[in-house]
Amino acid sequence: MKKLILATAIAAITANSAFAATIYEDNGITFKVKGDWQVQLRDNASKSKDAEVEFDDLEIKNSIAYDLGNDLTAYGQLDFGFKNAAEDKQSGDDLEEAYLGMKAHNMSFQVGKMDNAADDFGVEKAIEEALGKDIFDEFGSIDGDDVIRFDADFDSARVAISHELEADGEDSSNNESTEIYVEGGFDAVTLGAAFQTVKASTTSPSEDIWGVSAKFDAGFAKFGLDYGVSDQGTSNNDVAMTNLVATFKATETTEVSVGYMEHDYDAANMDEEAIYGNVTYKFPAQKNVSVFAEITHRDDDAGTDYDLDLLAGMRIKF
Amino acid sequence: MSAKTSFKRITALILVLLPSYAFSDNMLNLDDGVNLIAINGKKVDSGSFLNNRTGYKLPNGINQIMVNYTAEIKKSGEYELEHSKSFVLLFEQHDKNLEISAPEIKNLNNFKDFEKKSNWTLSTISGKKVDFKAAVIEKNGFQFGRDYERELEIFNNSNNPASLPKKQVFTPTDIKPLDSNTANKAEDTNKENTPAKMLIFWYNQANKETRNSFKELIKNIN
Repeated sequence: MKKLILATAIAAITANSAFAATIYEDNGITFKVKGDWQVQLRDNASKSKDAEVEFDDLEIKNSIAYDLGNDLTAYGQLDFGFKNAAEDKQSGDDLEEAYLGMKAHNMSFQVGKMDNAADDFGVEKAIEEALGKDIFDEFGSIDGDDVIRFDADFDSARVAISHELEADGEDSSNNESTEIYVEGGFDAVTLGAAFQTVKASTTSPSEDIWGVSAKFDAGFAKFGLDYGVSDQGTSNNDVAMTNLVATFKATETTEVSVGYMEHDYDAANMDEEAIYGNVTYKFPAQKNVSVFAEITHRDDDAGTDYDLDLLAGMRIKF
Repeated sequence: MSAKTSFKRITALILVLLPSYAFSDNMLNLDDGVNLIAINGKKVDSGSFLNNRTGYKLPNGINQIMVNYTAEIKKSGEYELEHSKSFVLLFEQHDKNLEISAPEIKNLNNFKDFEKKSNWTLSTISGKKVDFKAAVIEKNGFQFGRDYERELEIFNNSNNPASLPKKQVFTPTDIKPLDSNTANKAEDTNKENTPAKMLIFWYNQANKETRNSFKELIKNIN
C-alpha cells in the first residue's frame, strides 16, 4: 500500500512537469521514476465470462544512471508490476525487471531479469492481443530471470543479442534460450528479423523460431507486417503466425489502428484468426494521458463460439 | 511526395495567397512531441481539456522560446517515454507562420546527439529555414517543481548568445563628453558635489530594470 501511495504522490507532483520522469539529476547521476498504468473495462470473447475491470501494465520503474566519463555509463533498473495484485491473483508486487548494465558509445551490455532480444520483434498495435503479440510472444520466450543481453545501435541499424542461462538446480531455473534481433531502415521502410532457439525445460527438446517484419510509413498512415514460424519441437505441428496492421491519425490527438492476426498450424482444424480495431485519444494538455477503446472479432477452425471482445479504458504513462 | 508534405505545401500556398494584412504577429506551430514551456521568459498555458493547442502567437521581432522534446523509445523490448533537456531558442521574425520540429529520434543515441547538437528545425510553413541561437538550460539536483520563469530570468541576465537582449533605458549617446571648464567650475562653486548627490538620489528612485541598465551603461563607458 505504501508503494502505491508513493507512486500516486509522484504522479501528482510530476503531472504538470515536462520532466515527468526525472526526479534527480546532478554530478552525472540521473534518477528516474517511470510508470505505465492502464485500467480497462473489458468483456472478453469468452461466452462463459462476464465483463470485469482489468489492469494492464500497472508498473513503476526505478532507473538510475551514473556517468563514468569517457562516454561510459553504468545503469540499473528495477521494475515493479502490480497487475496480478490488483486482479487478486497474488498479494504484493511482481518484480518484472531487475538488471544492471554498462553503456559505452552506441553499445550496451546488461545482466539480470529482463526482456530478451526476441521481445523487440513485432508490429502489432492491439491493446489486448487475442492471439499473442507475435510468434515469439505466443510460442517462444520473450523474457527471463538469468538473461545476458547485448545491444548495439548504429545510424540506420541495430542489433540485440541475448541468452538466458538454464540455471539448472537454482531457484531461477526454467527455460534456456538464445536470440538475436536485427533491424535496419532506409527512408520510410524499416525491416526486422529475429531468431530464437529455446528449451522450455532441461529435458525438453529445442525449438527454433524465426520471424521477419516490415514497417512502412506512407505519411498518411503506417503499415506493418510480421511473419514467423515455430517448429514446435518434436510435435510435428509447426505453426506460422502473421500480423498485419495499419495505423493512421484521425486527428492530431486521435490514432486509429486496425489489424489482423492469424495462427496457421500444420495440423488440421487448429487455425485461428482475429481482426481488431482500436482508437486512442491523447489529451492535448497532457499527452501522457490517453483513453482508448477496442473491438476484436475472433474465429477458429474448431468452430468455437466466441463473443466480440470489447474494451474501453484509460492509460497514464510517465 | 508524402501526404503530409502535400498538406504542408497546400497550407503554404493558402497562406501566400492570403493578404499580408492578415498577419500582425508570428504564429508558432509545434510538431509532434515538441513541448513549449515558455515564450519570452513567461510560462505558457498548455491548452484546455479538449482543445488541441499546437499553435502559439509570438510578437513580431526578437522572440525567445523554451522547448523540450518527448519521444517514445524502445528500450530492452519496452517503449518508454524519454524527455529531452530544455532548450532556449532565440530568433527574429516578422509576420511569419513558423513550425518547430526535432530530428527523427529512434534510440537513446539519437537523443543524446540531439541534446549535444541542438539541431532543432525552425522553419516557415513554406519550408524556409529560420536562423536561431540555441542553448540548453539545466537544473542540478531535484527536478520537480522547477521554476522555469526564474531559470530564464537568470539565463537572460547572462551573456549567452541565446539570452534575450536586455532592454536599454540608457544608450551610450546619453553620455556627453566631460567639459573641463564646467567640471572645474562645479568643483569650485559646489563643495557639496550636487551632481553626485543627484546621481545617488535618482538611482535610489529607479526601478530594477533602470538600475541594471544604468550599471550596464557605466560598465561600458571608456
